[in-house]
Amino acid sequence: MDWTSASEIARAVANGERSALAVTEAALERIKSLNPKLNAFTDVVASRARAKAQAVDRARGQGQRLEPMAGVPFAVKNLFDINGLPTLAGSKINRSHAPAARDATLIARLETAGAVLVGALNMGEYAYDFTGENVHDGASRNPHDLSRMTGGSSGGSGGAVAGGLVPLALGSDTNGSIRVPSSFCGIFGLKPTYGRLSRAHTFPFVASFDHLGPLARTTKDLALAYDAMQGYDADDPVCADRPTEITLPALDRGIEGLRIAVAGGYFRKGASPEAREATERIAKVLDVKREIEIPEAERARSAAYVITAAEGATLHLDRLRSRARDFDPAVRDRLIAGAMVPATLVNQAQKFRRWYRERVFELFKDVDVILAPATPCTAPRIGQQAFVLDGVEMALRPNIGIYTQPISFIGLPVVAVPVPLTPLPIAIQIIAAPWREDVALRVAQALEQAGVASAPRPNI
Amino acid sequence: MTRRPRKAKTVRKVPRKNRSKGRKVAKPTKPKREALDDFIVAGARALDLKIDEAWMSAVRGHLQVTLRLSALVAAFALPDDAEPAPVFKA
Repeated sequence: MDWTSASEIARAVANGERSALAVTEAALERIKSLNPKLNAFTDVVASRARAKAQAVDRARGQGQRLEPMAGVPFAVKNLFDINGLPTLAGSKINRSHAPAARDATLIARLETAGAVLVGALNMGEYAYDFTGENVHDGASRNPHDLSRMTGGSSGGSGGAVAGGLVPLALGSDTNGSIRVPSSFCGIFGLKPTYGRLSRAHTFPFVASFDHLGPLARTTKDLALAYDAMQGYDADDPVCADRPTEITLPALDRGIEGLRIAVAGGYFRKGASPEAREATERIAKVLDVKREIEIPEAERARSAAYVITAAEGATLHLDRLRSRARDFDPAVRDRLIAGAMVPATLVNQAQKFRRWYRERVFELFKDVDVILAPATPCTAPRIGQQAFVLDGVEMALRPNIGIYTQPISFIGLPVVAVPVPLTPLPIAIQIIAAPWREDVALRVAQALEQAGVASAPRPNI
Repeated sequence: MTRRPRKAKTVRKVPRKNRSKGRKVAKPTKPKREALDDFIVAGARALDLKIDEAWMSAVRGHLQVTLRLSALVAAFALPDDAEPAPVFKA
């Protein structure tokens, strides 16, 4: 297993210590040897990766200045379009789709920055998932305990990064699908502000909440990739026309002057001892004593649940009519139920969403950062159907995201930072005001430098 | 003119022994699960969805959760002029 970070690889390739081709070959070899255990990859694009790596090496040989991510291997959740492959989105149905005719915008931007795409990653079907399980491709497995979930729906992204197969992966986050795998697998994940990164040429789930972002083993790698992927894209109607706001140069500025509080109330209710322990460790290092309540967070989570059910069902209605038996039954039955939700209730949820957004934005007049657990518990066992929250047994699958949903509901930027508890890690959400990814990343970097947040190395 | 909807065919008949002269009979109440099943069947017909009988229990369970959470949202009073979150801009 190679634990070298993306930024360290880019530095080594740029100064000639390693060739991009050698780095790529090593990544392909790791995928070959470890993927049978982790089931993180569904496709490997070895020829393409070698060609890209050779182009990077040629550019260096010609004395050209290399891009900031030169030679960094990365992989993407299989809902990203990859030129020449059908975009699976974790489904059986999409396997019959024509191969994508181009790459997703974010893949193109990372490759423009010198990074090398090595493959596509396992995910929960159509992203309606928090577990990382998939009936068609098999469950992605947690590198810290192969019998446990990676979390989903970007499960392969979590497993590939935490298992050392690649230093960087891209995922999507509609209700928590970057932050949940970051928590269960013990890695860093960035869900940027809604509209910040282009979603063009990826398979959607819930247009109101869909975000894309990076997962990595260091905060610096998140910032490196995030900076490379920013920028307006007319192909995504939601993508904000804002200037690029580079975060890497200010990453080490520390937390001085930042007003930080821990989310209380709803975000304490139901938290396992591990989630509480991790929150306390983070708060202690940051010397945070203030606690604030995010108003109506439980209702916000409920509204996110309702909108997700209805919008997800709308997206898949034709497929539910024509190919219902080709869905994962667990996904199909939720989607059918979503198709039955009256429009009046969905509209009410969208109205509440605006009210909630205004109230939460008011909080950011008094604080810069809010801390909350990413998941209520550490990684459950694969196949587990129920868990106990706040003394009540409930279905596992829809409830893993209780702490992530009220945040993505209004598109706030979040960095999930892993706290390496034993035997399993768990992550804390560093939540910032809209468009202040820089602040969330600074806090994550400070926590990493203080040693309280880190991606633990598994023993596979 | 608005027609009154016909009674659903699935309404259970009052047992003969309860139909004695002049005696008030309690209206039969269907279990909630059945009421939701009727809703699902009608919704599926309207949406041209075919639901296998074996899927009903799971669909009902998911719909019950979604409606419960919807009720929590709907119970929150908002002013009439509250705008929904996605607003189209020309």
